[in-house]
Amino acid sequence: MAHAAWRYVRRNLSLVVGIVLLGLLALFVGIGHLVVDTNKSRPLSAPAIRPPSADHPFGTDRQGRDLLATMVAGTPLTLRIGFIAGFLGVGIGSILGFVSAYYRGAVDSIIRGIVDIGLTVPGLLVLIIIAVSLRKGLTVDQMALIVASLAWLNPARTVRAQVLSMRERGYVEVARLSGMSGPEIIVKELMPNLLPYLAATLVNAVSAAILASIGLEVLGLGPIDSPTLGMTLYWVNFNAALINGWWWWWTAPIAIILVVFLGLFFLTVGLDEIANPRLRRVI
Amino acid sequence: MRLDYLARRCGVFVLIVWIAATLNFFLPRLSGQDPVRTKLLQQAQLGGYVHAGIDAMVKDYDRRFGLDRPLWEQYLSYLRDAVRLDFNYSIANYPRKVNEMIAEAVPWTIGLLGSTTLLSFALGTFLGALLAWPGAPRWMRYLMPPLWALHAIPFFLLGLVLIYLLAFEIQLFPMFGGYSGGAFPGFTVTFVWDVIRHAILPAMSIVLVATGGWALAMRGMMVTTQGEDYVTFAEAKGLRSLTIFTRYCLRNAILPQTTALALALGNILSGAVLVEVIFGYPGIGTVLFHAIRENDHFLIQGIVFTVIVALGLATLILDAIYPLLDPRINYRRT
Amino acid sequence: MRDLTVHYDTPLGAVRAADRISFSLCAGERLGFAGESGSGKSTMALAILRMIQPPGRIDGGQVRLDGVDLLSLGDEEMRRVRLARIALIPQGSMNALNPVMRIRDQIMDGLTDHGVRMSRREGDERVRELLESVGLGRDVAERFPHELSGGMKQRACIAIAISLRPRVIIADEPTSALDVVVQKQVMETLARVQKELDASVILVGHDMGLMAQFVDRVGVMYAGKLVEVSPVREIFTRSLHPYTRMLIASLPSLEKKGTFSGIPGLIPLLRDLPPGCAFHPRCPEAVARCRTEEPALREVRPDGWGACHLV
Repeated sequence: MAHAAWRYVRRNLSLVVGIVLLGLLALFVGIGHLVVDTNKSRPLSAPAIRPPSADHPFGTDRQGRDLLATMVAGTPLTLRIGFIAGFLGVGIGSILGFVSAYYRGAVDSIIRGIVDIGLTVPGLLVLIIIAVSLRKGLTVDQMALIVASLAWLNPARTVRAQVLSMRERGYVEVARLSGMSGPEIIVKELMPNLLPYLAATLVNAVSAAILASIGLEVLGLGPIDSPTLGMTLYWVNFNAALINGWWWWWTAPIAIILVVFLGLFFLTVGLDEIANPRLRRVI
Repeated sequence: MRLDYLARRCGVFVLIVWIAATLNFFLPRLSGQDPVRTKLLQQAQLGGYVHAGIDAMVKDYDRRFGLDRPLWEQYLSYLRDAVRLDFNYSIANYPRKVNEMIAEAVPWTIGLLGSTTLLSFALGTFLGALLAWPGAPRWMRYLMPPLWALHAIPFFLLGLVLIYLLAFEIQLFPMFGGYSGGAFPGFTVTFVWDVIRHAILPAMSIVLVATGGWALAMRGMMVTTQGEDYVTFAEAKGLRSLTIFTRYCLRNAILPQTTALALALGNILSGAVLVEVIFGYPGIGTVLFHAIRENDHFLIQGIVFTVIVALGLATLILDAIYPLLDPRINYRRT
Repeated sequence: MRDLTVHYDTPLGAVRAADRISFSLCAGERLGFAGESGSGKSTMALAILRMIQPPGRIDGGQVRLDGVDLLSLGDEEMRRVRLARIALIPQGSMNALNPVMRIRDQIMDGLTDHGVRMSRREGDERVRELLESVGLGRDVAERFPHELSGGMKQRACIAIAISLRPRVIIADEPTSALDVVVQKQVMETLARVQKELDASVILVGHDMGLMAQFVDRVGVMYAGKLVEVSPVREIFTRSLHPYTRMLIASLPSLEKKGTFSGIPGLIPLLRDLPPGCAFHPRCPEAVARCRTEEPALREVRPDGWGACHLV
């Protein structure tokens, strides 16, 4: 049992690394919530601009936030935006992509047209326009919805391509000839083969959503009062923390963001390997 | 047949432009905010004016900015102006016009973005191809993990790290800006050198991250191509391995790679915008950032529209070049 | 070829894709290799060209061409042997040609990389000759592969294969995925060029009917082993192995009507071969000895080799 597990680790190292990284993050947040007082992530809870010390292991920022508390409170918020937007995006995108590939015809042309055009346009800019237009003090969840409005495009395209190639492979025809009904085919034949791809697409979408939300926040369009990772970076920029040499302010969020993206990336690669056995052991 | 393909792509381009303009027009108005009034109120608060007479001021400005006419009229004149690239005045920097401000910033962005994209694409593709070649030197294998890791992070993140390490700690490069404070713009050697020095860090942030992505993608394409039947046949023909590598593998792998470039342009641009903001680089990104801060709707819209059109154009050009690379495209339309 | 063995290293253990294959091929002779998928015939063909890639490797044996053992040659020397002395006509013409190169260039690069120096005009002339000899018009030279039909592509591959006048032509299932009319054209072309060159042909395939029409001798492969080699008439009239008999019996015939007879059971997994004769679980004539002792390929009658205890 252990031998087989070890062998799998060697074959799909990426997956394991990804899970480990994300696991560490989860631990950080989980233990953090137990140990640290998240109220200290509000402004004026501590003396301003203090380098790391025993009282404040991550230091404090200009507005008097304890940075450790900020990280512990903010990381799950950022992740939440990513997950909500990612899930919504993949959900809507999969349905649309599926419908498009399965029923073809005019529906396919319309959906494909929208997706193609939507993907050509730089997403961040459209999000900026939306966010600027709705500028009434965004909450975290509203951010998620805004990001989700574009997040469905890529999943739609991927799922459509997958379903199309599965159609070509003839086992849909075989299933239909052997008398299975439409929905039955969908559930019993197509779904099981689609699942690994959906998983990989989901992780991808979450990663892209987090990136988009951080981008919006750094530009100042995020939920101003939330201690999310992107907002912290916004304040870093706003207060010229770099020039002032307050290195502790930006080291923590950058490190955490790094772990998030690397973890999600390795997870994607690992899932890709499961989904596409032909890619195995190329290195 | 070839014309049919081109015509279709041009049509898509026009469609994109029209959708961009329309979205640009309607979305801000959805929130019901009147940008002029808000701005004036802000000014008033800052300056400590009394609020009497503000309605008259708003009406006057509305007229100036054309906001007092019925919606459909505004839409039509907006479209007309957009085609002429006239985006009205900048609310925050009145009386400067939007397209003036954009025109100032665009060369900087094109310089940075254009050169870094081309460089990272060329470098990455070349590296990726080499990584796939069995004849490549062994030490190249060790390049893979750092490339792998680097490409997963956003550009601006690396930018922040680079600023700290190379501009703050070691003071090798300037920390921000496009050129030094008191420099005289012009085509003198000192100024050009100054510009280059300021551009190196932002460029590095983009190139270091993007190259990895292209290298990995190209390597994947090469591996797939190497498994194709025609490569096996080429080997059976006793061709030299260099011939097989270049004319059979590279030549075919570059096709999906180019498609990937066309698709990635939007993302690269988004990343570059954030890089400019972090570095205070005087391109479109920084102008956009300030416009957002000051709620300058017209400027924001103008920038977004310009960028979308520019990207659409770049994609169109790439699409037009593609049939030159892939002889199969001509005939697909029949 | 003598005792050629090819191993594949799979995560589940080593697999013998070809096990001690031995045969000889005379000048001008046509030898066919028949067998189901997975019988090892394609592996053997690739092994002759030393094109077995990891995780496979050639594990012993000799392949002698005009006295020289090909397996002992260096990489560069072997490269020169390919196309110039032994040429391959690939299976599945769908994808064997480079989609972004013109036919003319694909013929020329074989010549160039083997040291043939020609002016542009001489090259064009040579290409035209080759295309003509396979029945393709001169306009094909400027075309791309996707503009040609399946049969035309296959004939272009033949043109490439004969461009350096090889001694041996290996045709790996050259007509699968082609309809019968085109099949006939391609095989006729192959026969014609072979006669002009006085080359030998190794035809690998699973279509016994095709073998009957084209080859002089047939070698039958099963589970990586060569189980029979006989002249083609005798394969059909008095074959030396039960597997061959059942293969032929399973061919649909215009005369006999009735139910099809297949061969019961499945090909064994190469890593899990049954003891003794590999065919005994499916053989209707198996006796006790077949279960324990593996039969060797021996010359049962003049030019008739069989690997069966009952012969």
